[in-house]
Amino acid sequence: MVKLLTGNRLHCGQVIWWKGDGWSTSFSHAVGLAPEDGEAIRQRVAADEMINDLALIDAEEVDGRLRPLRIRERIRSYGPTVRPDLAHAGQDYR
Amino acid sequence: MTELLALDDRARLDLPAQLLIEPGEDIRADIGPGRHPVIGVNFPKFRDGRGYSTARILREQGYGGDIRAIGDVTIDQMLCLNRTGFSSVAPARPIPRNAVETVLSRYPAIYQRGASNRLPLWALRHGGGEAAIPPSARRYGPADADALTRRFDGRAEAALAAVLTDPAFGKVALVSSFGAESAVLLHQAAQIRRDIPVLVVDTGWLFAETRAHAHDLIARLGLVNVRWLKPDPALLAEKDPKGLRWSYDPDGCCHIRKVLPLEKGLAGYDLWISGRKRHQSSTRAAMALFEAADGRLKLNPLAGWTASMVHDYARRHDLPPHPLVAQGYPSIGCSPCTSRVLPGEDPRAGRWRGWEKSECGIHTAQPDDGRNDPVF
Amino acid sequence: MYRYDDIDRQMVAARVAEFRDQVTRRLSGDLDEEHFRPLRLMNGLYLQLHAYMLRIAIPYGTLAARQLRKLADIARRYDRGYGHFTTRQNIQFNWIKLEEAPDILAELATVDMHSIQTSGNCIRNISSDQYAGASADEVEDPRPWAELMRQWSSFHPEFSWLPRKFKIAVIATDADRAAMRWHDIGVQLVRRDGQLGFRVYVGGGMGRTPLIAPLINDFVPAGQILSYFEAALRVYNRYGRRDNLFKARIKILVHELGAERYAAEVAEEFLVTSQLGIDPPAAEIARIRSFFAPPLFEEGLPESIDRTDPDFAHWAARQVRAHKAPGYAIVNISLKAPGAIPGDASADQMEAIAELAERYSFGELRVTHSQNLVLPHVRIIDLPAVWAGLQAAGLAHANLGLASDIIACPGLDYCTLANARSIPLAQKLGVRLAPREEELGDLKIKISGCINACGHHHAGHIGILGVDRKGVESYQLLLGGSGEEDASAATILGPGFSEDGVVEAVAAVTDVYLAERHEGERLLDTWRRLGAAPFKAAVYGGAND
Repeated sequence: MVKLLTGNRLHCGQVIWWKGDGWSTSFSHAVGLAPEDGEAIRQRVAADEMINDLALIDAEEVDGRLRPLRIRERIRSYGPTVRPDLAHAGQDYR
Repeated sequence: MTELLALDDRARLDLPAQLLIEPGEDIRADIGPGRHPVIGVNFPKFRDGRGYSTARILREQGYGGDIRAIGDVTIDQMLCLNRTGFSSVAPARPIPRNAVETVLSRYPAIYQRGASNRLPLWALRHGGGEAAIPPSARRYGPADADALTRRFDGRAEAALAAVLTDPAFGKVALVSSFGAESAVLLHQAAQIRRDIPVLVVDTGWLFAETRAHAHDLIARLGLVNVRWLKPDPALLAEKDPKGLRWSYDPDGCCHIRKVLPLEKGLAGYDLWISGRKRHQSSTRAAMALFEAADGRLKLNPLAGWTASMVHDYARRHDLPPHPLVAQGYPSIGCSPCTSRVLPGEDPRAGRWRGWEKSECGIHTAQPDDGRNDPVF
Repeated sequence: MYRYDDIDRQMVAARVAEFRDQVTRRLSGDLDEEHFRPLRLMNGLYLQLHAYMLRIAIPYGTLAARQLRKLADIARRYDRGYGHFTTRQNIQFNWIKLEEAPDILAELATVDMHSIQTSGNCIRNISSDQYAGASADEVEDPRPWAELMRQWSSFHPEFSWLPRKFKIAVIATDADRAAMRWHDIGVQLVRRDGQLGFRVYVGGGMGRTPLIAPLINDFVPAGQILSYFEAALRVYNRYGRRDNLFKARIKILVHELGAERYAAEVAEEFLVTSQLGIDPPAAEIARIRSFFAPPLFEEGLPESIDRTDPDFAHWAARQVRAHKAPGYAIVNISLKAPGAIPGDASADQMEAIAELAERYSFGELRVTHSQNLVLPHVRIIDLPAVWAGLQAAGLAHANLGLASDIIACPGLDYCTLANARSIPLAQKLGVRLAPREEELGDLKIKISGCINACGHHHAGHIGILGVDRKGVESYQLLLGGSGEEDASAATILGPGFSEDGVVEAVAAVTDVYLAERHEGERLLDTWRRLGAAPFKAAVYGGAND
């Protein structure tokens, strides 16, 4: 199991994922972190007031792809499941 | 004016424990009103709103001393604090002093009664407003006018609403000539308070069209408190028995028929509202939003308005034009001293044509050195 | 409907300016999130799963066509082309940017709309009966009173930082179409000995502890209702619990004190507040009432219409209700076609509905607590044209009050608080039950994605609550609730289900009803008569009791 660092941009609310050297709006760029590394980065970027709901979430690797453990985070990475037309292309919430 | 909250930068006063009220304390039982100059109300967390009830209850019980909000108090709570009866603030984190005034004067009215005697909007909508407003004891000076001009910079409408609704300004009247452009200001004011005292100087020389226009507007706008100020008959008998003073001494005529009646009519008022605009003449080009004279404030909410703004407003609100405008009178005073204006002239060029006079005297300061005394 | 005067307008403009200033301070870092969050919430702005969500008030559910057009415009320009009507007569947009929110509020202000106090621990949007001013059974139109309360509650200096949110509903009929007794304060306008007054219920609410508001005062003279509210709220503000978020609603205070003692505390406080000049004069309510004068109904209109087209007849029988004016009817517009997202409307649909309102309903619309829309004043002879217009917009579905007319919160598809999705379940249930919903009759299914109960599951004949079981969505089934005048709280039937499992369980419950019902009974009545046993047996195979 790995950790992912995620939050919402303050000015627009967009979901963002930690990609190792910064943030990306695409889940496909998210990088898995060891819990202690994740916590260290979280504390470092927490001082940045431009991100809301900063959280370290649980994920696993399935077939070489990261997948959040909780359905809530999978939906966050995808979009509303009832509006696939508005979802992030290439993602899956299942 | 909105009662200002004093800022006290010391984080916490050394108040004895029984005078520092914590959220949830039963104030009704413990505090006898009037004996203590300061009572502190603690806000351990800004989200804990019990202190607002505390202050309001203290005021309801007649406590007249300083109620101080202490602790996690921010600029965004100032309005609630102010309206529930707090009179000073000792914030844990500094609050920018200049921001307080902006926040406190932001809303033009209040929807419900709070701890102060400020009237809610419904009270103003249904008259009874003026009776409840005591004249303020203070005399206003240029510093007050400057401060208010700065506070309401670019927000003339808010200034108008504030003076009409906030009893802290004292007694307020609107002075109107029911002239060419008077409808706009009357309409704006009537939207807020139909019972606003409207003072009209009836010089005896008004055009019949002006009277007709006045009655039309009064009916349409539902104005219920129009006062016609007439010259003193004894003075007229003495100084202008034949009614011809306008022809050889217009300043003197204005003085007895306009300036003196208005002076008398304004007695007891703290502030008057005038519809003058900077564009009207070179003498008005530098007029500020608020002015002070004779210890009284004057608000010029239309100071920045252009002729086309007036026109657009009147059309948008379907306000009737003064019948003489279409006949070439953009500025209308008394019948003997008002003439048509030619294209390209100042709108007020038709007033006292042929005389070196552009103001009647009610808007100019009158030094008491005798130089400007009328000739009689 | 109420029209703002210049001061009302300036008040909203001042709020927009204030919020713009607060957003600027937040974006520049002058204001931290802890202090900013309650301020944005008091302007209806939440941070949800994917973006900010803006909740806009539709006071007492009355909406003008031009306002709906503006909402459509905002949906297109600032959102993703749709909006979601909620159970408290608000509309929500799901894809808002914080930096654009002040501009949206300024746009709304141009049509006298706002998002003031649509969230936060303050007095929220005042809700009311969607048929107000149109139904024959009301004492008088409750909306002038609701508007009076809207103004009184706006920017209230003492009650902007309450222990928790505070919701008020106003009705004027014995039939409760506004879930009145599920509100923090619910009032019913009544006339007694020729005098207008309010029957006041305090302390209702859903959430973790569902409670139906007890009667606190059976007659407060109408002219004193605001000072009575001040007393009721002051007792709450001072003594409501602030130590535990889940016990902070007024329902807990009333419950813990007991209705009688709470009523006594309020009565004592009312001795003070009734003397403070809080209540406006009769002239103010008369002024407000004048805005709600009935439209100029035509007289001598035909009261019946050709119903030979069976599709039209079916729609009209289901969606049309009697109007107080002869020759007129109330038209309900379903936002619940089976498979649709309950309460969602696209910008195109909003415009189509606005157009119909302009042409056939004096430009007026209503929003219902069950997430549908209403054209309140339609000439009966215009019904076929309205039906045709609705068909063209895909809105002519006929299921008012039936099994597929499901209330559902946004759930985990959007909401950061949710534990499970509500919408997909509503879609599946709607599709599953639609074929026999006429046979099932009056059936209220209500789905919430978490314990906060925005989907009113406690008040459903059938209620469903989404829960999180070790990271997996799971659903509890409740039976026996009502949000109407026979208000009752539903009870949990037994262990939870998967999404498909709960669809089957609901189907089994409806089978029991069809088998056991007496003449004229709703599913709710059958449940009340028989109790849980037969339903449990059908759902859990008798293994549970």
